[in-house]
Amino acid sequence: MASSAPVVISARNVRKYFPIRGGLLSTHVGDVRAVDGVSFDVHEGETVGLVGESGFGKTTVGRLVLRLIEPTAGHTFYRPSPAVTSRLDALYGTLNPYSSSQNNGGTLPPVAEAALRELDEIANQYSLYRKHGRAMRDLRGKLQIVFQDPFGSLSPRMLVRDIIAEPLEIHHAGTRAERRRRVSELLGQVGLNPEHEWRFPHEFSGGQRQRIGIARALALRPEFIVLDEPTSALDVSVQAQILNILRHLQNEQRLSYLFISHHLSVVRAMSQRVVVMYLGKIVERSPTDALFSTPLHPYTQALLSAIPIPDPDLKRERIVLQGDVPSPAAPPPGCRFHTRCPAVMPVCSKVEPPLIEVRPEHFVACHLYPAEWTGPAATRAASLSIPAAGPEPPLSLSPPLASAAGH
Amino acid sequence: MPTGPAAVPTEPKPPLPAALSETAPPSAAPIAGEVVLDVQDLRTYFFTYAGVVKALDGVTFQLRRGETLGMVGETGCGKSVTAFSVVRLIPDPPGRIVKGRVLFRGADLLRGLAAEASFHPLKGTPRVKVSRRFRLIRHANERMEAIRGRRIAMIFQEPTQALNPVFSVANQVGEIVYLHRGTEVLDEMLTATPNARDVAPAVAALMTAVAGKRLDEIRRAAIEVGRAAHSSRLATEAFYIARAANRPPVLHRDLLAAIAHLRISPFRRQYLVYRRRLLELREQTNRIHIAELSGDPGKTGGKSVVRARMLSERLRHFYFGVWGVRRWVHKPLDEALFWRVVRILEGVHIANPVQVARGFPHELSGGMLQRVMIAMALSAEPDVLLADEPTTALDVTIQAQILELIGDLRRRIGTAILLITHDLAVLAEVADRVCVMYAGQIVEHGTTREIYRQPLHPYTQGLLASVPRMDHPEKELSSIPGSVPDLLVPPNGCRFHPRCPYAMPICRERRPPMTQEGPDHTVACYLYKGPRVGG
Repeated sequence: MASSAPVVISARNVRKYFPIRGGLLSTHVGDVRAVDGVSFDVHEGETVGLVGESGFGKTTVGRLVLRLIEPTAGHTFYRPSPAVTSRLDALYGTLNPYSSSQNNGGTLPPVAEAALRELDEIANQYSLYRKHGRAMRDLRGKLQIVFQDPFGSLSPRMLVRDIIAEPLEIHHAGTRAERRRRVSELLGQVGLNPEHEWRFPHEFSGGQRQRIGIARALALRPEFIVLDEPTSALDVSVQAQILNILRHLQNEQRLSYLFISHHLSVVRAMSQRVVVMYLGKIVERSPTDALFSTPLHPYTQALLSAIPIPDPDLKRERIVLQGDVPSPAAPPPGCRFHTRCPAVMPVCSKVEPPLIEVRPEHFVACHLYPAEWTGPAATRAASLSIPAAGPEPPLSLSPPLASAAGH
Repeated sequence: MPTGPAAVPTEPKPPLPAALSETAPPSAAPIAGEVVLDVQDLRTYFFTYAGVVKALDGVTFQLRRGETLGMVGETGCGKSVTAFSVVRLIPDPPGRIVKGRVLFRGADLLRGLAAEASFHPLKGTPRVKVSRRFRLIRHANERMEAIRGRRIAMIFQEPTQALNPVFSVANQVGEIVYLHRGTEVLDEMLTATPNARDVAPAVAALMTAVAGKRLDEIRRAAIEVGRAAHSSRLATEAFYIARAANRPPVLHRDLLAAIAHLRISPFRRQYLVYRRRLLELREQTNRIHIAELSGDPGKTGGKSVVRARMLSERLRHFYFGVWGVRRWVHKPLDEALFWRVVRILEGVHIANPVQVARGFPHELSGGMLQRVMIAMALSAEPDVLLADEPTTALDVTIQAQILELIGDLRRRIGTAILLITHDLAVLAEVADRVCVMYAGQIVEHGTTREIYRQPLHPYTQGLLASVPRMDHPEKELSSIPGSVPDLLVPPNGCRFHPRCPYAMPICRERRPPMTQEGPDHTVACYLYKGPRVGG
């Protein structure tokens, strides 16, 4: 379904390290690895949910794919052609074995050097991060964001009509009269009255402000919108209103969303595919139904079992994770989740598990899958050559936790 | 994680400190025992320049021992105002509780409320002038100190803002511990027998336990050390010394130093005795205050309160008040409080309590801070805990930890909990009963099962329908149209009628009475015709 539609946004191996300065001369003493090699695609008309706890780099990913902040490494492509996508897959397949931390500083074999050069060439042509001036500004109209906090993201000194018209003015869209018409049209689309354009943001409730934020994001007829926790500041009754508006707009205008949220039930209701992040890394990526029916990664299982269900008769076994989240400035070696993982094995603290396709379209980064795991390089290369149909889903591989999490 | 080189593997979950105390708390508190908090017709108004905001308009509920009552509603429905009104923390001005009774174990926390202020509507404006009698209000606040924190504790919504950033955790929790359990701590300090010869066998046993590297045994041996010296502080301290030390000689030396440290010089001892007197006077004052609130005519007497206050002032200005000396004599008390805090933090499952206690609020994560707040609230073992959105600022996995912790403490101490939240899913998991608030009124009240299985009020139905369900994700979310009304000019009649899909003509005119629709299920809606409840 979704995978047949063209790709709108494709993030490849995106990293963002925030430097920590310290010491006498405030030299560079370390990095907060907010986002550490994240790859995913968003297809046209599709919603991809991005899930994880606070401090795991969800918002940073959202800002990176829009280039609101510059990445440390990696690329994001806007509407790459299928040819480019397949070439990129091949190149990253060649490069992946060498990108792990052990090979830092060492010399690369010629194959990798060539791949790197070709990647650079493709990036120069297509990557969002290599675009300048006009080209970038034109793209910004296509890529929009709705911010988390409806109280902080609207200027208190501007009228609603000016807030919504601002993107139009920046991009010189239409005449003044056309812009005015567009503003009232947008207000109607998000369920506000035309007379609301003469008010200031403080005169609105949280839900209404979020509608204004959505109208502003829609002004330039974007194709891709990052929704950065759009409902976390709202009540459930209002949240439902906003989610319904977003769904309706998506069907009407064939929008693509990256839906960032820590609220899993909302993500389930909204998205077709889900990406689960833990401490800057993707631990699981799969179609929504597969993720919620058979979560594979122990973190996802714990996350799902921690969601309260509004039904007093449904008592289930809850996996309560012990301990606190480690700091992204000093992530644990090996699998980043191993300090809190209920199914931890000796290998977990040593080797970082790669993201592999365990079932069709269902990727997971965990040493529990598959059992005959041989090493990062071999599996990674193998996983990329697996066709989409893939082998039979290895049902026997479900870890012992799956039964506890299922309900 | 302990910073020192640990000779022993870290402990996943420290055993509860209750194991140490002589009087073990009741193992299982009776669920839903007698009524501890009875709120009747509570009305809290805010008097602003634009008019009177009727934030609470006749709220009635009861809280029984050992039960969790969930309170749910949208933002601005008056959930937090209810909690703040119960402990009389409403900022005054502009707010005032204008009517109602809050009975806590027979003591009316709002006694004398009517005399505290008078209200004069200003002609031609929506404003009301409030003439406050500040002497009475001050007295009422002093009386509340006997209840607040000690009998009725509160956990606030935003843990990162509830603690003072310039004091360490031990300092802030220690202050609470001193206020609520100070006599206990001081008695223990004064009666400890730090005799190295008596404690020697226990110390030797601890040394062998450390060699065995079994944490439960180390814990048990440390408790024995404490018992030998009649000091539970030593038990906690010895355990952490044993956990941190790497070589036996160092361990032995540290243990002996800790034991020697329990000895208190006569000068300092005198200070502690005075501090104890002071706390006793406080206790006495509190007893008088509570007697006053209970309306016990025999024990009422402003004079004894004044006498207690004068004595405490005199003690405070005693020669220990000299700069520097005070600090020196105070040090043993601070140390004793520190180890007591460590023990309390263990009780809320903090894995490295010594580091956390030494730390400052900004060094801790939100979940950790919320645990510290819970530890503070529960250090007095209150009868009632008002939890105002305790997990709203937290992630789901941390939320699960905190809810588990609150439930665990409820079972252990038998505290009644008023859990305020806007998350219906959370309530389904932890609450025994639920009351639904809308625009300052309780519109439905019943057991959790009834509310979720058979919601009667259209508002409750709307709320439940708008929760995205993990079990039925395909369902289109329904939402309640409109938003919470402006309480300056609330709608006439039923306050929900402008948003209600079943609104009838009568809904616009008269406020629906509370009717009984089941053995433990009441609702305020004209759709239901059960017998009326209350007034």
